[in-house]
Amino acid sequence: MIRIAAVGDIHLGTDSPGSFAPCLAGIGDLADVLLIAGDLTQHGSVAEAEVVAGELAGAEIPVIAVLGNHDHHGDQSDQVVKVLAQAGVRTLEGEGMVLRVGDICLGVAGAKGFGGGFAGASGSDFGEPLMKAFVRHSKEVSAALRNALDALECDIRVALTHYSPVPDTLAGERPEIFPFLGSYHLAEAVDGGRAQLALHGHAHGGSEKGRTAGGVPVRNVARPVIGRAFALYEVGTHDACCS
Amino acid sequence: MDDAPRGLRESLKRVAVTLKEAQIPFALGGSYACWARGGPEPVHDVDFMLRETDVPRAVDVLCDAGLRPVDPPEDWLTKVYDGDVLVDLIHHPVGRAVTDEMLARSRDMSVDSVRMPVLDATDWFEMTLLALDERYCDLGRVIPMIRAMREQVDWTQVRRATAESPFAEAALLVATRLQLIPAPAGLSPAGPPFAGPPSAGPPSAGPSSVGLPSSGRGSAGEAVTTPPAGSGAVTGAPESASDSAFGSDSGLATAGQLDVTEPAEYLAGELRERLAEDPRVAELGLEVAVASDAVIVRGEVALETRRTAVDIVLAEIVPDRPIRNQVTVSQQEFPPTVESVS
Repeated sequence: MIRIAAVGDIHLGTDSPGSFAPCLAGIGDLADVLLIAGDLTQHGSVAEAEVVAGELAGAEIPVIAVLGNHDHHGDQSDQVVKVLAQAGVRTLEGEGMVLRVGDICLGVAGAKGFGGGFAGASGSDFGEPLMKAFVRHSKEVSAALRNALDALECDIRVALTHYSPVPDTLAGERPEIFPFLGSYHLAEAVDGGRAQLALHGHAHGGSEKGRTAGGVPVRNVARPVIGRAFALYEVGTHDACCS
Repeated sequence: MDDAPRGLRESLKRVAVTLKEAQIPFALGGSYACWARGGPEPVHDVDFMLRETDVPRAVDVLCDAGLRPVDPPEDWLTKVYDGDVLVDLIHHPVGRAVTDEMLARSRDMSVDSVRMPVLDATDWFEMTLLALDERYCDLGRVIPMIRAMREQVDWTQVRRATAESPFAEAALLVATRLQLIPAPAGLSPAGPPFAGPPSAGPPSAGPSSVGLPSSGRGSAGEAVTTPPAGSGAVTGAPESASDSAFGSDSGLATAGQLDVTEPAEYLAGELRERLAEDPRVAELGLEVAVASDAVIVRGEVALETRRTAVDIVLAEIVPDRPIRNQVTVSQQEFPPTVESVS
């Protein structure tokens, strides 16, 4: 069994040093890894990334993140990733990584994801160049997530995104904006890539629990949704390590 | 009948002036507040809202002014008579205390040529709808009041505050189906939440109304309230307290100053975008509503400084509008709980 701590949308700014680090004190006793589902910063600036790095540097366990739309706002996502890496935070975009926890291998595949909508109410790769670009971006990041999941050699697979793979966890948000909150292509990747758990953020007004069409549990860990510094999930069973 | 309202109005003004001179905070409530805001003229009694602690002093000064106190058995109000006219001094309407905040939300309006604070239209509907019960649920009285005041009211807040009352829900449903007020977010005013098979909807639910929340104006007609003479306070004010649309591309966001005379829903949309784009706030999830008397912002931000920034940013864009900042700061940190997922 692996214990995963997860949160998204911490939205740290240059006004927030010292606000998040205290929440992580003792996290090593509770979890084996901390996954962050995007929107670590408020505007995606380097200065904010430095604040995030400072707040996460003290975590006693590995920290793995994906970026969110806020982290892209400053058009400096490469530098943001670099600053986070210096604090030991691994940022995934269409990539995976494997951690060994005791006898179990945990694989995490991460991608920001994108909007586009859900089956039956989604955008199409058709029409104006901007519309096509929008839908194609959604399909591309979903394909990258699928590839990353497929490439993982591990016992337990977890998909980490910022945007939602399912509408279930958006319940509470206005349905009109669902196409801006997630895409069913992400759920296809989660199911096809045989993930055991999918974590996302982005929808502050949504709800925590959902499931893909393929039955994979989905959790919206946006901080306003979970109402705590992080949510904790146990994945796998105790005897999995003996297999 | 003609004389009764005139007598009532004289008593109303006498009490208001007496309370004002004694500097006792109050707001005109009841059906006269509705009248002041454009509703039908009442013929029964006059209601004032006061904090409970101020009631004894109010009774004293009103008695000094020649009114007659009555001590009623009810524990939520007291009464004074001005001649034959009964004046209620209410401190716990529908079981809720009159608070400083409630009085602060009231607005000075001219009522039959006397300026006095009049209960906020949203508060007024919360009380009025919560007062409906099994024996007193005549929508024939309520609907004209909704018609008269609808664009002054934050209906989302009224829905939230009255959610537990089936009578309030019924009144709001009727008003929504008549397209007097906006449907709750995401719902069609025509009835069924989503466009289902034709048999699921009422015969009148044409395709044009499905999925389009009513803005409270346009086809329903009679949207513009005529305020009582001398008031002028709500004339020309933008209408509809409906939540902002997801976006609008009128291009005004690039101008330094917004055109604040544009319809409320566009203004609300623009303000919402500004709050998302301004680096001091940069919050995409805030809800902005433009009511006739204030700009109302709701939602949650991570830090107190960002909550304050909402006021600062809006004051720059719409300096002449009061801001009702109902944004909360998400500080509640519950202890972690563990869920087994497999």
